[in-house]
Amino acid sequence: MQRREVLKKTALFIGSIAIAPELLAKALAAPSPALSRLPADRLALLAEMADTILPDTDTPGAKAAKVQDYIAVVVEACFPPDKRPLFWNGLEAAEKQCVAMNGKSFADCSTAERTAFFQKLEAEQRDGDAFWRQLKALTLNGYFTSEIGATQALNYDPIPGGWVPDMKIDDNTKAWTPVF
Amino acid sequence: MKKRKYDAIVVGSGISGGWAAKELCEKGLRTLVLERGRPLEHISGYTTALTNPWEFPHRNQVPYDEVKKDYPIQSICYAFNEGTKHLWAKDSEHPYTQVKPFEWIKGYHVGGKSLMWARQTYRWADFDFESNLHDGHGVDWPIRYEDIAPWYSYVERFAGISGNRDGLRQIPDGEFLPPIEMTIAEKHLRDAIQKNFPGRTLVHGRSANLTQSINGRTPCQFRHLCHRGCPFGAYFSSNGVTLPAAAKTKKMTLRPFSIVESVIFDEKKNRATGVRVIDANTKEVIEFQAKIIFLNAGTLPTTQILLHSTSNRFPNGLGNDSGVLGHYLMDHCYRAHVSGDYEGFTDHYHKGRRPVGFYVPRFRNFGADKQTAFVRGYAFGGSVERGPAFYGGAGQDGFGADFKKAMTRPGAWSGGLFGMGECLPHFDNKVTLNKDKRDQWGLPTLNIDCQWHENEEAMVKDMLATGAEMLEAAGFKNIRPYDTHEPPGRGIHEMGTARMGRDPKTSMLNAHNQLHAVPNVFVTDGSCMASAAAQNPSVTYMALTARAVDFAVNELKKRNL
Repeated sequence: MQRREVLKKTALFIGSIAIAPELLAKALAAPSPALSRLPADRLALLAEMADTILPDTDTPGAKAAKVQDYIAVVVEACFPPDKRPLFWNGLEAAEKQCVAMNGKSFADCSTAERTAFFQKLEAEQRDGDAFWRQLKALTLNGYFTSEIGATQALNYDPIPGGWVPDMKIDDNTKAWTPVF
Repeated sequence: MKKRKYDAIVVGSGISGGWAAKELCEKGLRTLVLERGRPLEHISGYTTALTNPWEFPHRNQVPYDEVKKDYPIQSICYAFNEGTKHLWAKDSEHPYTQVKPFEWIKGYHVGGKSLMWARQTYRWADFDFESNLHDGHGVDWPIRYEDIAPWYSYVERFAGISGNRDGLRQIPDGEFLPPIEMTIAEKHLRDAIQKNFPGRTLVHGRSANLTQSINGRTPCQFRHLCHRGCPFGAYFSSNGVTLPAAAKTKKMTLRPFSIVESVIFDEKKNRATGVRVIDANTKEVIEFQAKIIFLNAGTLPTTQILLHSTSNRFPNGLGNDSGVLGHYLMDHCYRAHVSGDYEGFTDHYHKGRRPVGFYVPRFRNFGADKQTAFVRGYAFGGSVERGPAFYGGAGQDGFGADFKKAMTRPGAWSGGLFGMGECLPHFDNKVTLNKDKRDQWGLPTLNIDCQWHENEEAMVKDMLATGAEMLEAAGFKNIRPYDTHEPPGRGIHEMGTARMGRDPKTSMLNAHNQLHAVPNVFVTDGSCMASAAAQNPSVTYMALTARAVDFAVNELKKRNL
């Protein structure tokens, strides 16, 4: 079957399951309770932290991809209840530690100050359950499953149309976006 | 009470029920297909098939509270996520009890688990039908490979199976579409196994995914979103393949929301006359009549129906003169996982997402190999691919622009093998009815008492060792053998509770999947299995079903039913 024909069929399928995007749009339009519970300045703080891990480069960074919203939603909805306060307390502790080190909020720190602070966290918090590791895992997952991360930072191929078992790549080849 | 008459009734619309429906209808029988769950239309029912990752409210994770409340068991399945959760039966609505942990995974909708299955399709070997006879575990199969071989061909041609003709006795060749090629790292592993371990072979996985168009179905687009339902109809499901064929005959009546309470037995005629159904929504009780009845509700629901179909003649369940009904529950043992990383081939990659990997057919207690710690054997499935680098990113040091760039690259080659061990039939692995614990329709729930035995334990140890030594021989690093210690059930290959056999004193069904004691009732789902072998079972259920329908309709014509 020609790729063109497959794409034509796909368009038909999209039409036939049009109800799904509608429902989805409704679900997305409703503000998540997690987002409204979390103070705005904490969301902003998360955004700065995530953006320091994955900054704007030739592609937009974590803040542009709204990774902070993802983190708030996933921690509140998907983490087991006993792990949720651990994360939020970890965020407060990190902010306090940053103020102690740099004399100001992480959000107000320069790039050099942020870097020094994160290097310290990285050296101190080695355990997988530690705030820093959780923040990093959430940032990576939130970013690469966002539309920006999935389609700009990675190579998004929703309908590959075929399987190429072997191809040569170079140092600039982007990974295919995982879809599961 | 309303009454309705048909030529045939099929209970269940999953993998085997869909085949029974198609075959019965194509042979001209007016057939009623009863499905306990909701309707689910091919294509339009696959509501998340084209959803992008960022469009899921929780990015494809199911919220914690929802999992705890509705899906504590179902969520254990690898294919459960925000994009598929609507396809799993809520544990909160369909309770059962466990004497020992048994994870009962189920999909209650038209098509059943044929929508979410892993699509692996391997024929049984000639010796798989003889193993019970040879080592004395279980009863002898009443059929041999030659009896089922033409029916394997028959169902493979219609279902569409991709695979390579490897010429191996353990997994006989079938009617294959072209195979889905291996990655370069898998070929490397294959060569290392061939060189270092005579008798072991790594071959292409065989799966019910089309690599060429057949019967107007589109070939696989390599999205690997099969579990959400394929809008291209590229893999085999009842919804996309057998039920449309049955519907085309205009002989099929498909009735969703129909929970079969029992099979009605007429002692004078020594025949079943129909089934009693509870409408899942209205709870109205309706009786349907037919000349022949196929039970294809899935191993445990079919067993539940038979146990609940009591009469003066059958106080312990329909056709249960032997007392074996509900006993000899088996699953495949998937506990052994061995993973590793391969550091070479850094300038090689792949494109597309395969719906299949590779397969290492059974090599234990086969040919020259003789084991003392266990009887029978196991197969391995597996794959070696490159995921994105960010998968391992949280454990790596770094952040900022360079880290971000590194995270967007393909990661190292990684993968491995997982064992699939044959489970022996044990009388004490059983299900019974909870007379005092009923579901919302007033039906007794199922009590499952099942555990792994010594033979499976010994096999797991061996799988971990052989898996690791094969990766080692291929130069893999960071080799991690891991026993998941998962209980039975998670293999989702539950089978054996209404087994076939030669002797009515020790089995429920004869060589044609016909109840020894009630000639017009046939059981062709997993409950009919007298042993488990190591292969994924669905294609064997399909073949047994088509074969049994052929027999049943001939018998009906001869007025023997």
